[in-house]
Amino acid sequence: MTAPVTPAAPAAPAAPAGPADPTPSAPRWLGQRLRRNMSAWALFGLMVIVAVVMLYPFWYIVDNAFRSPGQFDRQSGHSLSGWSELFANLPVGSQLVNSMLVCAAAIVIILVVSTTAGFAFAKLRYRGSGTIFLLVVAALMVPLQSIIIPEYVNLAKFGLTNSYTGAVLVYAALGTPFATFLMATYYRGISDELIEAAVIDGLGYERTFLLIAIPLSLPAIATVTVLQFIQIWDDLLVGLLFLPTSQRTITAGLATLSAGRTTSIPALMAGSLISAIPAIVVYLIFQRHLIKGLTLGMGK
Amino acid sequence: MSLTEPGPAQAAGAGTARRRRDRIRPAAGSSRLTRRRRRAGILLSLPAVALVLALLGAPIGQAVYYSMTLWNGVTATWIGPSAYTATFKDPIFWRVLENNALLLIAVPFAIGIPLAIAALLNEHVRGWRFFRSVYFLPTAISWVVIGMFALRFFSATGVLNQLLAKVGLGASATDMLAGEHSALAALAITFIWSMLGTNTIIFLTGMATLDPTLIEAAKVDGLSRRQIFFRVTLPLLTRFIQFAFVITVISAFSALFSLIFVMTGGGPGFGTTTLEFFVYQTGFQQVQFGTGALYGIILFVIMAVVGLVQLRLIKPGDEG
Amino acid sequence: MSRIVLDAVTKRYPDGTIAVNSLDLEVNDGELLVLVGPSGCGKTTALRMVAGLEEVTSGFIRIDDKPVNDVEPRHRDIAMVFQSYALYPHLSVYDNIAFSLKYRKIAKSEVRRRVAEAARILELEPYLQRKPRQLSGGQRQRVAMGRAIVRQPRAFLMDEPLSNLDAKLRVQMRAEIAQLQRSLGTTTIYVTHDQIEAMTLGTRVAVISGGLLQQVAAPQELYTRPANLFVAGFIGSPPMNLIDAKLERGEDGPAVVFGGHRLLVPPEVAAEHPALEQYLGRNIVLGVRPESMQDADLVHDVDPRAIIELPVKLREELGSEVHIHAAIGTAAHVSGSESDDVHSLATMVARMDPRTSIAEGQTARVQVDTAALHFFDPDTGASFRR
Repeated sequence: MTAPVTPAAPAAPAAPAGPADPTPSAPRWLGQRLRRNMSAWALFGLMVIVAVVMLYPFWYIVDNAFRSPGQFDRQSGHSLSGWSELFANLPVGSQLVNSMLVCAAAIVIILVVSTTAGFAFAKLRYRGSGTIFLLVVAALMVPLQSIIIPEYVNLAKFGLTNSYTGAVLVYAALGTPFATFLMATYYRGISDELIEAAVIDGLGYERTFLLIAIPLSLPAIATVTVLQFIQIWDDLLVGLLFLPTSQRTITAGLATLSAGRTTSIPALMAGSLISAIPAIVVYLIFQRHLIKGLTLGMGK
Repeated sequence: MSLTEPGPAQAAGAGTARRRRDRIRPAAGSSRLTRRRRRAGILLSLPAVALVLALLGAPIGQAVYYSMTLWNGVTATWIGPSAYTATFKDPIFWRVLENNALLLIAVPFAIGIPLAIAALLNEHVRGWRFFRSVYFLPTAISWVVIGMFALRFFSATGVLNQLLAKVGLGASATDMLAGEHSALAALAITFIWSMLGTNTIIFLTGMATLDPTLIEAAKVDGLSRRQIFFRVTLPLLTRFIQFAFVITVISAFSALFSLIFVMTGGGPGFGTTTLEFFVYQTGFQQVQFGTGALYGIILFVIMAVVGLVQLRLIKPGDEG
Repeated sequence: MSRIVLDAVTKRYPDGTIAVNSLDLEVNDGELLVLVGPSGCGKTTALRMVAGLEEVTSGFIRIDDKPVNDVEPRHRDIAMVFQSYALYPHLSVYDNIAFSLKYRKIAKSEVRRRVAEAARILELEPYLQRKPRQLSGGQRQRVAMGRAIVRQPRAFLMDEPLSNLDAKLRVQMRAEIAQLQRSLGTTTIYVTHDQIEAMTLGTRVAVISGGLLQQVAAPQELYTRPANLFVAGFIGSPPMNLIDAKLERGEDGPAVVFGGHRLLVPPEVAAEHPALEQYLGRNIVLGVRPESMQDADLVHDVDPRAIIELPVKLREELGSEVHIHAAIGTAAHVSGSESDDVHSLATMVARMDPRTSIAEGQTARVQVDTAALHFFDPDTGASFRR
């Protein structure tokens, strides 16, 4: 199915080459420079093919978001009718705002809680702190579905499902383990001597945390923010269950719209587009942080 | 939280004892410092622990309790452990588990393909950084949105069939979402696609951390590129492959919810009802809190086992 | 049976830096050629080009008279020992050593035999089942050597293999490597920045600086007849004293004058340095090795024309010898880049018999071995020798 590939590049994974030395196994009689270029072009071609596979869905969504149902069936022509239908069937604006609020609130809580705990576990050991840290991080393994039922019951009992509060708390709790792990890893990288110097200078540990640790960990904080933003924004289950309809997030709104199966596809595409854009924008701007955050977890 | 140690109490007490101790230990302030440190540690880690305990820890315990009741939100009847045995006799339950198991078949693909892509990017051909950004983009997109597309891709009038028609295979056009197993396959394919980005980045990072002299040594020692990849690079990436494996399996067991919700709603029949969706379906669509909680506990146990097995595999392994 | 030739080999990077500049070297069959020079001089780059890990910008690399520029490393039949040893962490010592053999379709029994032999020679037998991380630095180094030996390659390429070891171990391993190479008789190119290693190991030594070959010769030759200032200052420890001086024409022959001192150049020395003639009356750089200076009071046949009197600044006791640091009245010669950050120390260092009674603060009467004087052009750095 792939385009005919030159013999220089194997279809199987190509071995990582050393710097500036891709002497391929193509026929020797093709001069060295030509062989190298062929190999480079073949690789480039492969990368393009993979890129197309990765980006096509997005293109499809963008393309069809600007069609009317009839145009969609014919797959030609463009209009904005999908958008007007979307806005008619879904309180897009307010749902976008809801998503923003929920994200912001949850992230604030996560940051406050994970930076303090991360610092504590990394630098302020106390008896049992190692085990407690492990338990907190192990909470990562708890699948959301296992706890939603009791969670719902609990939150409903305190009336927290009538407002943002319930969902925000759940998101915060879900994000804390990984965020704490990230921050703790980062703080461990700060030399003990830095902390000791501050303490000798008379700062208490709490003030040391505020005045020294936090400024030094801004990159990690950015990473956590970006990671959590994307996760919370894109989440469905919590938004669906723990938010009242009036305060639903855009993701949940879109899903219910889709489940209804009465809305036209272009409208749904438009909805998809608009709900995806904020997360994509955040991703594009903060890519480096995202990648770093993901890979930091592997430094164990 | 009885994490406090005898520190404060002891210090408050014996005055003379402390003075005698001070003469032996020159830095009299150090134990006070240690106490302050511990106190600060407890204080600062309290919020996180409380949050996790209350909202993640307690519910598990409660779920165990609920799982042994029959509860439709109004009336609750205690059943006890026999609720579990009843479930294990339920063919639908096994059908659901079967779906999860089948999905696991997708995991090797979700790891193998990114390995290949990462190897591709690792060649650092011009523009690779741009492509890396592109490949990682899908991780920012919600499963809901992905599901939206997948729905249109696999349906009878969908993109897949259109492509097949263009290539001339129009005769084999199918509505993948209509058949139980084909729908699951469609789900699996979509799942693999969305994991590509994450795992590619993991492997790419891994490859970047490899000591290049090991590869060079293998080159000089006479191994072909294929041999180098399989005999040197892959073994050195073991840690990363394990990490990706854990992430992928966890996703397969929990993140698919949104995808299923949008793509198939669990159907046709129980075709794409995996355990995590089953929990939602039973608990909130059929309003059977007790039974739903039961499925949730089973899910939790499975995840815990997977996690422990992983830990067991990682610990005795050698340094990557 | 392997001869390696570097023929005008040049390495230029895309940003313009020239790491290796038209290097011409011949490594004869069975010899151990050392490439020595300061960090960044291009010696490692040259080695990697021979290995095939770096592309040659221009020039040719020939192994046994066949150009191998386009040949992949794995087809060149050479084995390389890396500075960091490059041991596979997930394999045992046995597997590390046997690694390459497995992929060359060699019979299992043969593999076992070769590994056992290598393990015996390198005294690694008790460690065969261990993993690299369980080994000490010296043991790891030997495993790296083992991996190279079992290949029975045409040549060994060694990239600073002893740099990561502590001083004592380095001395011991140095001797082991030398003996190993002699008994195996395999052509070897050895890269190091340590001139002592170079002198003790090499059949011949090639001194490289700034990508350019300074001189290639047997160690003794480099010591007694350095071709230029760089080689003179690089080989020998403590380094040769290099002094800005003036060459005078005296009634008894040419004499070299510096800081109020005057040394007569003996006729046989003048004969060995024909270029001296042209420099009469001009400034030159005089080179005197620390070991060419002795306490005049301890010498039997004193030559009054070869004595200089120097105020002693520092006396260092080394047990087997004494280093005397004495002030001379003129600047020491500093060349090129060093002159930016090093203040010219107007001091000479002499290695003296430990029985000398010269003390700090005194004026020492130093006898200079004028037969061992070196002369260099102050601008080009070239030696005046024939």
